[in-house]
Amino acid sequence: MNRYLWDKTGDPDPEMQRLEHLLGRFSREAPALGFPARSKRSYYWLAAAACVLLAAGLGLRSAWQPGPDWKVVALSGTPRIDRRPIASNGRMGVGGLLETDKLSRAKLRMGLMGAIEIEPNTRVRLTATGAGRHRIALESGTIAARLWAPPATLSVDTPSSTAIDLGCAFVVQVDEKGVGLLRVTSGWVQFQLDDRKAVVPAGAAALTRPGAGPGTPFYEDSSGAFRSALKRLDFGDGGYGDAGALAVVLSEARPKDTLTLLSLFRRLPTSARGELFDRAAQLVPPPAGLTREEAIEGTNVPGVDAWWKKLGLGNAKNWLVNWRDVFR
Amino acid sequence: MVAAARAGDDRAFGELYRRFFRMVHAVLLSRVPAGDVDDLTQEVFLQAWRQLRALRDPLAFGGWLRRIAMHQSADHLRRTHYTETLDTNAARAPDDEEAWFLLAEVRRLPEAYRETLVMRFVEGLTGPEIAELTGLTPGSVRVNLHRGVEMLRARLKGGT
Repeated sequence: MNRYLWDKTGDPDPEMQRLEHLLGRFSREAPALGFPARSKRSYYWLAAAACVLLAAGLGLRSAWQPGPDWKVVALSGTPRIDRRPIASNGRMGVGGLLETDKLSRAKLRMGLMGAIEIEPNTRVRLTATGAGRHRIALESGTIAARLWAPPATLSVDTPSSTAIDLGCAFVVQVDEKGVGLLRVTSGWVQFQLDDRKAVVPAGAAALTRPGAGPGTPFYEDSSGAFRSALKRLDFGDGGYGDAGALAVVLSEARPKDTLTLLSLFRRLPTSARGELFDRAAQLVPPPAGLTREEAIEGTNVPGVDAWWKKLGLGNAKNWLVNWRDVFR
Repeated sequence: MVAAARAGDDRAFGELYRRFFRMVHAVLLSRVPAGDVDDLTQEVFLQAWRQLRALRDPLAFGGWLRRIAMHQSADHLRRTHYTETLDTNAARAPDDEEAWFLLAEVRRLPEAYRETLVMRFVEGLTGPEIAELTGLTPGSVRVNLHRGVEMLRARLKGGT
């Protein structure tokens, strides 16, 4: 037998090499090689760091190319792509609009990247795809995304905020005006409008409102008073200067809600951060190297980062750890 | 590594994924349209991950995974009522035309041959690697390669 055919040793066989050359273009590398390193940067900047690092051109990107068209699978009813009904499956290119009515559901398949389930009464548009960055616009309705890909691979624009995956699974629900909710079920998601950002870990949620953008991350099992007061801070007329609302948030907070308190540091005026620090420190003591003044002024980023780590929420960039959640 | 993955070690399963990816990709590419292979590859590893605890012999992982891929491709073809559709692929260069023609010819070979040839020529695996990943004996792989190439050669020359 031709040795080259068997184990590629011996004299190269031109005919075999020709077959290798032509057919080799159909090969595909497993997209799980060479993961991004963990960052030691501040949690505050984690999301931005993830985006920058990955946008800077990690060579992994080509492994997460779903192609110019995304596959759409009808899960129930008759979803429509660009107003045309699809029976079982179809494809949607950039600019395409996928719509479900009250009886239909669909799934957007993203090759090895993951999938997005489109719930009833939803309108979603594919706005960009390529170079490892993919973007959809959720005009209204509900989507559930599960991604097995490096952070910042998928962005979901809503009328009031943009959700950027940081290696995760999440649900976004929004109406035409932009009133909505992000709920993260695995990993982390950055929710943002311009400079206003919320980095939301698994198990937590964040509201979004038109003109305001994302609210502060919170746990949905927190007390009603806590959530109502937080909503006043995030979207009320008094904004983050609403001392009454802040008092309720602080008094109602449980140790778990330190997530919300630490997230509020950047939103509250400096004058209100003292009592925020005191309450957060009661619930989860800050690391030894972080003083009250430093936390208030934001001058000890590693110290604040260490405080975040004490919450035990994991690292937003450690997406590989969460990959199995894609399969749940 | 299989034992570790069965015990819930995600990194071990990730390593199995990387190691067996090309084999699974080849099994699927030899059976279903190229455009469906990525999705199905994910489905195969999803099923493997879910059912890994049912695998009694860790040494049989490769063969077990290959059978999952074969079943997935069969289910997929049933679901999509696939007959002989051409892979859609816009704007092919002349060289691409030849490659797609060649892939189509390989896919017309008997199942055992086409799968082994795809592993060898598409995925770049050697005969010993194919045997190790699939659980087939080296002798079977050797026969598949030899007869597959002979049959492909005959087809390309206008034979059977």
